[in-house]
Parts: sequence; structure tokens; C-alpha cells
Amino acid sequence: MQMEGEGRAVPAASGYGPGEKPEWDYYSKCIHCGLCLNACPTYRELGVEMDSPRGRIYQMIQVEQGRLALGESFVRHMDLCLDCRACETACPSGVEYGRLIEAARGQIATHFRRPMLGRALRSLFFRQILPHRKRLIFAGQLLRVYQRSGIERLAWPIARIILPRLGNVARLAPRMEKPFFTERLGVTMEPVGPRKYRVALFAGCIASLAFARANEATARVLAMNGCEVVIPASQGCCGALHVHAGLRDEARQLARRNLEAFPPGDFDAVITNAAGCGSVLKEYPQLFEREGTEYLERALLFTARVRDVTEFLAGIEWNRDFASITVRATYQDPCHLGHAQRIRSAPRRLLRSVPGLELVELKDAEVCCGSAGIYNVSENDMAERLLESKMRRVDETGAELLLSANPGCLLQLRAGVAQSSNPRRRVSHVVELLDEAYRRARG
Amino acid sequence: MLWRPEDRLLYEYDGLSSRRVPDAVAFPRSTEDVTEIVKLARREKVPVIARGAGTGLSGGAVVTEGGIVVSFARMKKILEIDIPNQRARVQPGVVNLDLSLAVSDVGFYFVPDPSSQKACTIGGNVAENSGGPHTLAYGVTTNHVLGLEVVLDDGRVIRTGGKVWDRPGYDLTGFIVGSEGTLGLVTEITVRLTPKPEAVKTLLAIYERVLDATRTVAAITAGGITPAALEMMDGITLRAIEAATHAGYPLDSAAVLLIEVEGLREAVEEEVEAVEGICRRHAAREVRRARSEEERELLWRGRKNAFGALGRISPNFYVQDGVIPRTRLPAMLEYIAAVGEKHGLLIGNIFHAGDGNLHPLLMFDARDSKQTAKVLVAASEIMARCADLGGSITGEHGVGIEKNELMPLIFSPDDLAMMRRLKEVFNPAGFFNPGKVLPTGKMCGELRIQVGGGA
Amino acid sequence: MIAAVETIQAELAAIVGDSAMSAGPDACRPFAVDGVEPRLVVYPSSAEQVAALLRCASERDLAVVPVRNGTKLGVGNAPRRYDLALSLKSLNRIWHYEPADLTVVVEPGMKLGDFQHFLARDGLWLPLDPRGGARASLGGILAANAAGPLRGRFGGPRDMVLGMKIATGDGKIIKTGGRVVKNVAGYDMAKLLIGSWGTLGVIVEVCFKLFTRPAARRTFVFHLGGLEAARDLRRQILKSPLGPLRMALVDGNAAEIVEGAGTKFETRNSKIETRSSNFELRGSNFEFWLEAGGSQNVLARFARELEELARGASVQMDKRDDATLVWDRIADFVTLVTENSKEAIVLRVPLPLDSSEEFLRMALDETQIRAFVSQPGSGVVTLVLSGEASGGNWPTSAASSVAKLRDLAEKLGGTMAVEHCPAEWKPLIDVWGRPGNDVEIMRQVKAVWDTKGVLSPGRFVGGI
Repeated sequence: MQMEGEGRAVPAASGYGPGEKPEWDYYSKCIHCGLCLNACPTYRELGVEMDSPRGRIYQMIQVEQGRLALGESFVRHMDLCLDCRACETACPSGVEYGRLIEAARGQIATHFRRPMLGRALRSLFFRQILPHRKRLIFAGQLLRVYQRSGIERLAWPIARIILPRLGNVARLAPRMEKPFFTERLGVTMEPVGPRKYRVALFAGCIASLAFARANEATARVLAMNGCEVVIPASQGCCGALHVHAGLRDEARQLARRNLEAFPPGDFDAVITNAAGCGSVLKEYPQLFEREGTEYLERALLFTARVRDVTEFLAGIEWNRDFASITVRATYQDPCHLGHAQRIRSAPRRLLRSVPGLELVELKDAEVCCGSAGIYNVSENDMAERLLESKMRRVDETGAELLLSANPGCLLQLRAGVAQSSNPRRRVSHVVELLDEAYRRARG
Repeated sequence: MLWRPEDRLLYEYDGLSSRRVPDAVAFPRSTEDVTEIVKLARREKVPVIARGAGTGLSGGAVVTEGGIVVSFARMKKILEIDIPNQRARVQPGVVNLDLSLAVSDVGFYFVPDPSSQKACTIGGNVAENSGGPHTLAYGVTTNHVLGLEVVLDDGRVIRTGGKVWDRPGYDLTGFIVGSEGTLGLVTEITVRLTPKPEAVKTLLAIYERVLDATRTVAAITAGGITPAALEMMDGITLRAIEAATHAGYPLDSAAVLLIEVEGLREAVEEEVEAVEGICRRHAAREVRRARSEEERELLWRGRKNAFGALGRISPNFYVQDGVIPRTRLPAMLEYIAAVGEKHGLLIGNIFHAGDGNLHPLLMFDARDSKQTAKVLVAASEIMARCADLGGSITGEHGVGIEKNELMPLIFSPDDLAMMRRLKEVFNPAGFFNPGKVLPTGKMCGELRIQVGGGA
Repeated sequence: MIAAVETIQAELAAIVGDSAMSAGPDACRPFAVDGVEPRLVVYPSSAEQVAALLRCASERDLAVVPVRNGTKLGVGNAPRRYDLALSLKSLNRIWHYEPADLTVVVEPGMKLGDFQHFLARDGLWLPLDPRGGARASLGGILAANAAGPLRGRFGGPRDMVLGMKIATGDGKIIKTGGRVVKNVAGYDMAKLLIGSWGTLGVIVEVCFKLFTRPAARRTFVFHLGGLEAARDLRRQILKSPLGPLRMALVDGNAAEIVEGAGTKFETRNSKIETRSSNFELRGSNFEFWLEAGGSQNVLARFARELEELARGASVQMDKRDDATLVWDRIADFVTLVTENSKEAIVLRVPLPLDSSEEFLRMALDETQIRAFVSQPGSGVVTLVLSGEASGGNWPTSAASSVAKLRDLAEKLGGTMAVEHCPAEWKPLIDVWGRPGNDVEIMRQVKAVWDTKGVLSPGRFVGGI
């Protein structure tokens, strides 16, 4: 950092507390060239530096230098970041923005006191539910009963009168899909035909409940490609949401559990169909860098095996015994697949190999839909604005089928479609489409 | 309008460096808003500084002595797309690439394509008269802007030019383009749209010696071929770019030329053959042709991300921007190498060779003050040589606060006095973007540094 | 305060020498502007002399009009006053010529024809075909920002100038730009001078960006039945990737003039009179000229596609291998017309690209229109009005026609300037039209360059 001109204070004490924080090695790569600006969904919407990647990094540096407090203003702008990492794609200097924002949020989580209600809800969700499978299933069953009973239609309008800020959060609640995929944990599926690979399926926490069918489809698609599919019983939540929220210790606990559940060397690949999970699984080593424990080594070995399902399939000679599916489809890049994992062509190549399917490119497909983990709940206004833009682009394609490759995105896109000019448009995961094509081919 | 210190702090920098925190930041949505802001500023006797995306490399958008920053980030409407007349009217905050994307389906584009085109605004392009790799054949921003709406220092709104060529009267549009925000606030721009060419071919010529590459450049122009783009990268930059983008650039070569020819299919075929022949006659080790749109994009991605990629090999670097006649390229590159050697500095070269527009990248570590001082001396030497060879001290980045003190290298006191008097017609009291373009008499070497590390 | 001619003469002679100066009616008459004759003609031979002359003129308050061949001297208002004709005839040297750099530095008195001839040795050219043709001087072309049909493809003078030296009204030599193709150092003052009609300063040196001449050329002529056909053809060509060098749409009268069959404009009167007010009948013989340039393969492609267009539209098309002469005459159409028809009024109407045929359709209802040349590539229409056919109160009716046509052009988003009209009618006819709301700034700009207001006073828009 070079001190120039007037108005600069003498370097004061850092505004960060103990624990992980944005490090010089990473933020010093930013040369504030501004190429990230227009890639950033919040900058595109708001047009202010504070809500741009360059500006957020600048704020992180100012806190380090004591020119800016770790206070409300800073927290507001860090909260508004989607962590979609589109800026990493745009950045010519190779700044690892995800690492920086997550460290900054770690500081906020430990050293900033949020208002009571928010704190309590965050704690309930992140600490009391997500990490515990049984509680999660219980919550899911409750939600399912509620969704099927009709209370939903009654309750929400009332709730929205009482709590108008809840906005449209309600329709984002995932539909619970019985039977939950958690019932499959511990099961091993045999390959169709000779066994070529032995893979482990990462089932995910909420996805096991709300995307049980997509998980089953993933397992079947893998089996169709000569995979023996193991679904380890002791696996749990990946911790992505915790990392994004700055809950580093909680994330580490979850990571340790998964590193034990997927012993390195047992599988050719660890497969996930959730881009958000996949990207954090691939970044587990970052959680253990400072400690340098045995887990760092394990994490490095584990990470080397993690594959998104589309990445895995596109990397092998995939089975093309598809039935023809005549449909005009378009594909939205999940941020954590496109930007965080740089996987863009794999899903498109797979889709193009399905006969009859016409894939039209979606303009701004690389721009976040507003889902971003729990962002659509915590920052509903911004998420809604992004979703509206997204739906306009989808309408332009004239596609009947909207595909993506991450459960979180699918939830958001379904909510968008339900409100759009064409509410009957289907929204599916790429593997579900592949599964359908295989199944139709086999009669 | 932003008043809080923690927000204003974020407007002390642009793509060059940081200077001073503005007193306020305004976000107009219309020409009327801009007029109000100008009137307010005038009442309060504070300067006004226009800002697009803040990607400029000469400090055009930073604040030198306080004042209100007018950010055009929310004036980003494309007001009219008029394909039959090949024109568009835009607000200044429209992102350069967004305009091209908006007309791409109907086969048109906006020609100027600075490397920052994904983020930079057309208002900023107008202020800086931006170039880009593809301006070799089709001209820079000024050749593609036909009319402006400008708010003057007293809040008056004037319209210059328009959709048609030559309205009687002085070409104020041409004078305001490139004036770096010192004459008024541009609130609307009428631009020319250009049909996309039928065929595009991209070549990568690989050389063992820098000299062979520079000689090729002159030979191509002398051979009667005007490529759409003709870019050169030397070995140092190549290796950094390759590490960043995996564009497939050869790591062991001394230089490459990235050449693009476009136009009618038949003409392109012939020109590609001719260019390839010229390259081989000048000892190109290999000439590769991009076989698909993907390959072409990959080659360009490397070039467009070059400056950032350099950040990976040096903690800090200073991008220079000078121009010389194309035929002097071989001598100039030898001179730059000698300067580097003399000062013990690593200097990379990446530039618009077809235009003779050099971008030497001087690498250093800002924590070493001796090295920083050497960089400044070396940069001045390079600029002085550009001037001696009949060239210019800036081809596309602008003067700003970076080079205003170097202006006497190429302009006489009379020339500068005339510029000052013309500026005063629009901007009598130093109200718009003070301290830019013209020399202030204060030499502040450390301000002219592009900091490639920290903030 | 006007000094005696003798005093001034002595002072000026001290600058340029006796032999480079002439006085007396015979010497001055050829330099008359709209009937106003200068008192002296000077022939400076260097930039410094030009500057010194202007300094002297400013001190003595002598009105100066810079001139070379006078091809465009009739454009603009009559000068408010006129003492000194500043002939740039002797400033016709080439300073820096770098064929490999595609740049050249040249003095303003060089004639375009000589310049092109010089460049042709290296296969280069300056792609301009302005009014005045080969006789037009480079300085005059710049002062008028004059461009012909080539503009659609290559742009105008403002797009080809890299730098300039200018002698200001008070006798300073100012440099702007440079000798390199890309340059953003300082304000682009050259833009102000280009198209300033000699009211700001005298360009004493200019650096041009040069272009490579096309390897071969071919001209295609479409014979069209009406303006709709012309519009469709233009749209299709502009939509295609072909990119011709230049295009021109001419009516039957103009066609005869440019093809050299009918230089005597007056003799066409009988034909003109037979025109009815029904446009479709009148428009039975439009010609659409198109010149293509490039390699033989490129020309073959043009031939293929244009033949197809012609077939599709069922119009006749000819090919000509050498039509240089015709193109020269198209470029210099105004001179051809005005030399032979002193009473003609010529209007120049720059329009949005897609509006020129619409303008012509409506304009041709004005019965006084005798001929036109339109540049479909740049939207500029040149109209000839002539009173010989209408007789009677011609100047008055012409003035109202001009006003009507200007309204029409402005309604379509264009502008209009009078390129030629008899000097004595100028009080009736508005040459430049109403200036925009930037005219105040223009006046102030003028005052910066020409403090004493001695350069071409009153000739430009808004009386500048």
C-alpha cells in the first residue's frame, strides 16, 4: 500500500480482531483497475464503489489500516456481497476474492455484534439445524406437513402483514420431496454394465430433503456410466453456507466430519451435483491453512478427488444412449460452478449431446440469479432485483426448459418462473434431464 | 449523493492511483440532475470531477483539491438504437461492451475497444478519447462520436453535432472528445455503429528475436495491408499472461505478434496469406491461425488481460503509454531494453504495434524507494525518446495528473497557452476537473506511479 | 482605423518581399469573394511569413481571407470587410514523408491532384474526393472539411488529420497533435480548425494519415426507375458485407452532366419543363453508381452479388472498368453546374443515412429542382435549383424554396447549407441556417484564435 497525497492518516492500528482476516498476500494483488465492476451484480444494480469487488477489497484494506471501523457501514457492504465470485472470472490479476470476503465475514461473525433477532435466527439455522441430520430431517418433515396441509396458503399472507420485510421469502422455501434422500445414506448402487469407476456421492444436507429426486437421478446417471456409486452414511453438511457467513470454526467442524466420511484412496472421485457444495469441498484446504494440521493434508488429497457431476461426466467418454427429447432449453451458469470452479463448457457439452434438445444461450448466463446460498433470504430485495433481470433474459430465449446445476439456483429460478410471464416453464437440474433421456431410451 | 466519510473514501482512487477523498459524491440520473449539481457546486465554489467506472490510467477521475465527484454509474441507459442510420444515443454511464452487445444481434458493434471495455463507460471513453487494439483500421473514439450534450459551468446545456455529419459551425464535439472532463460534463453521446465484418482471421506469429517481430510490423503496413489489429507482446509479458490465462502462448519465444485481419471473405483470405508470408520472411519461427471462434477468443483473452497478469510476476508495475512512428519500433525497443539495463529494471513490452503505441511495463517493488525513483527516471527517459522520435507522450491513456508536467516535452509555451485559453472558454475558474491535462508547475513524481500492489 | 494602402504595402513587403505581393484591381479581382475585392494580395512562402502577415493584419486591423484556388470561395456569407487576400500558393512543399509509416507532413497550398500523384508512386492515397477535385488545395479541403462520396467508406478530412501547425490571428504558430497515428496528448485543436472556413487561423502545415490504394477498381451502374428502388438498393448494399469504395445516386440531368454529355446545363431546359409534378414519371432515369475496390477476387464477388441484386430488382446494370473521369465529375459536380449556370443555387444537405431518398421524394415536389447528386454512403444530398426555367421573380421564389427545403431537411434530422448562389441574392438567402445553442461558445472560441476578428469576418454561421 502506497500512501499518497493528503487526507491520509498515519497508519493506525488494524480494525481487525484476532482470528483469520483478509491477508496482504491476497489483497495486495488488487491493482484497483476496475475490470470487476460490471461483472458484479450488486455494482450493476447500485452503481456505487462500496458495493463493488474493488471497493469491498479497498474497504477491507482500510479496516486493516485503521482508516475504517469494523462497523455497520463495513458490515452492510460485506453482507450485500453475493459471494458469487463473478469478479474472480473478470479479474486479470488473479485476486482470490472469495477467500478475502470469507475472511472478512469471519471477522464480522466473531467481532461484530449484530442485532438480537438476526443473531438468534442465524445461530438457530447455522448452529442448531444444518449440522445435525436428525434435526434437519425433523425440520424438513414439519415443513412438508405445513406445505401439504394448506396452512401455508393461509399463514403467509398473515405473516406478511405482520412482518412485511419478509417480502417474498416464503415462496423460496424448498418443497420437501419425500422420501428423503437421507434414507439412501449408506447404500451402494451397482453400475449398469461393467464397473469402470468407484465413486462416492456427496448428498448434501438440505438437498437430501428438497432435492431427493435430483440426487437419485445423479446416482442413476452415474450408474449408467459404469460407476459403482457409494453413498457414505457418515457424511454431513458441506459447510458452504457457514463459510459464506464467516462461521469458520463451524465450517471446520463440518469439514473434518466429511474428510473422515470420504477416506482418500477409497474412491476414484467424490461427486456432487451441487455447485455450491462442490466449490467449498474443493476449497477445504483453505480452512486448515493456518493450523497446518493433519487435516490440511487430508483436505488436499480429498479435494483432488472432488468433481462436479457434469465435470466428471464430461471428463470421461460419457454414455450417449439418450432418447431424443425435443425441447428448446437454456442454461444458467451457477456462480459456484462457472466462477468458483470455472466449469462452463462441461454442462453445455453434455446437453448438446442429447438428441432433439436445442440449447439456446442465455444472455448474462454468468450473472448471479440472486440465490447465493441464503442470500435470497437475508438480502431479499437485492435478490429479487437480480431475479427479475434474470427472468427477462430467460424470456428472451423463448426456452421452455430452464436448466442449471445447483439446488440453490434451482430454488430461486423456480420462484422466478412461478411469477414470470410463463409460469409453466420447467426448471430442472442438468442431471435430471440426462436421467430422463437415459430412462426414456431404456423404455 | 454520498456525504458519509466511509463512503466518500471509496472515491479517492481510479485505475491509476489514489489521491484525495472528495467532499461529496453525486449520482445523477438525468441531465437535469447534473445541472442541479453543477449549480450547487458553483454556489459552494467547489470543483466538479466527472467519473465513469474509474478504470482510467492517468488519474482523470481522482480528486486533486477536493470537490464533488459526479459518478455517472446510474446514467446508463441506451436512449436510442437507430440501426437504419447506424447510430445510437447513450447516456455516459453505459458500459462500452454493453453497447456492442446490445447491437450485436443485428450485426453491429461500437468500434473503440479499450482493454477495460467490460467495465469502462462510454462517457469515460469520450473523456479520454479511448483507443484499443481494433482502432488501428477504424479509428479511435473521436472517429465514432458525432454529437454530445454537455452541461457547462453555469448549468447551461448545449448540444454539439448530432446524428448527421457536419452541422455548420466549429466541431466542438471533436474538441470536447479527449478533453478529460475539463470542459464540461457530457450527459449524452451520439455514436456511430459499425457493421460487423463478414470474416475475421487471427494469427499468432512467434519470434526468436524481438527485432524480427518489430520489423515485421513495419513490413506489413508497408505491404499495403491494414490489419484490424496488430499487437505485440515480448517474452516477459508472454510468460506472465500464459500463467494467468493459459491462452497457449509459447513460453520460450522472444516475442509474438497477434494479428487480425477482417473484412470481405475473399480479401481476408488473401491478406492472411500475405501477412503469413511477411511474417515468415522476417524469420517467424511459427505462424498459428486460430481455427475457431473459441481459439480466437482465447488468444485475445490473453492480450486483454495482460496488465493484470503482470501483477503476478512483480509486486508493483508502472504502465507507460507512448507513441512513435511505426518504422522506429526496432530502434525504440532497443532503447527501452538499454534503459532497463542501465537502471537494473525489468521492463516488459506489450503494445499496439500497428499504431506504434507502446506500453512499456516497468516492474518494481514500491517498498524499495530507490527502485521506485529509478522507475520514474526510466519512464521519463522513455517518454523523452518518444517525443524526440516525433511521437507522443500518450496514445490512449490520457494526460490527467500523470503526464501534465511532461506536456512541455511535445508542446511549446505558445501551444500550451492556446490550450489554456480555449479551456477557459468552457471552464473559466478551474471548476471542472482542476489540475489535469495542462501543467500546473508542481512536479510530484510519486503521484505518477501505477501501483500494482496494495491499493 | 484603416491605414493607407501604401503604408501597409511597405510593411507587408518587408515580410514577404515585393515580388510576393500585388495590388490593383486586375490583380485583386480574381480573389473577389461574393463581389467584394481585396485591396492587396500577398503570397507568403513560409509558415513564419504567414504568422508575421497575420500579426501585422491584426495590428493594422486588416481583414484577411486565406485562399488558394478559390474552388470553394463562393461558399458562406459575403465578408463584412476584406483587405488582404492571403494566397497560400507558395506553401506547397512536402516536409516529412514516411511511406512505411503511412504519414506525410505537407503544406496547405498543395493541390489535391498533385498530392495524389505524388503519393501514387508508393501505391498510397488520401481517400478524399471533395468539391474542386484535383484543383482543390489541401488547406481549402480542411477549412471546408470537404469530402465527397468516398466519405461513407473512409470518413472525412477530420478523420485523416494527425496533427497541424496553425498561424493564429495574432500571429503565433500553434502546434496540435503530432505525426503519429494515435495521440491523446492535450486538446485536439485541429478539430476546431477543420471545417472552420478560414475564420480561426491559417493552417500552415498538416500531417495526414495515408491509405493504401485499392489494387483494382470497377464501377457498376444501376439504372433505376424511382427513388424507392434507389432506397431498396442502398439498404441492401449497406446491409451486405461488401463495403464499396463509394456510391452516388444521380438523376437524369445530373447523369448527363457527370458523364460529360451535357455540360451545358441550360440546354436541358426543354427536358426539365416536361417534368410533371408526379414524381414517379420524373424519376424514370435515375442512375446509381457504385465503385468497388480490391483484388480481382473481391471485384468478382462484387460483380456476382450486384448482378444478383439487379436481377432481383429487375433493373439494368452496366459494368465499367474505368470510370475515374465520371467519379471526378461527380465529386466536382457543383463546379460543373455553377460554371455553366451562373444563376443556379446549389444546396448541400447532410441527412441521416436512411432519410436521403425520403428527403428527395419530398424535395422534388419543389419544381425548381433541376438536378441532384446524392451520396447514399454518407447521406449527403447536393441539390441544384435553377430559375431559368421559372423566370419571373426567381430570387424571391428561390429564397422561399431554400427555406422550405431547410425545414424539410431539419424535420428529417438533417441540416442544410447553401453551397453556391449568386452573390447579389445572398441578402435574401440564409446560407448556413440557424445556429444551434452552442453558437455562443463558438463565438468565444473564435475570439481566442482571432483576437482582433480579422480572419474572414462575417463569413461563417451566426455571422462569425
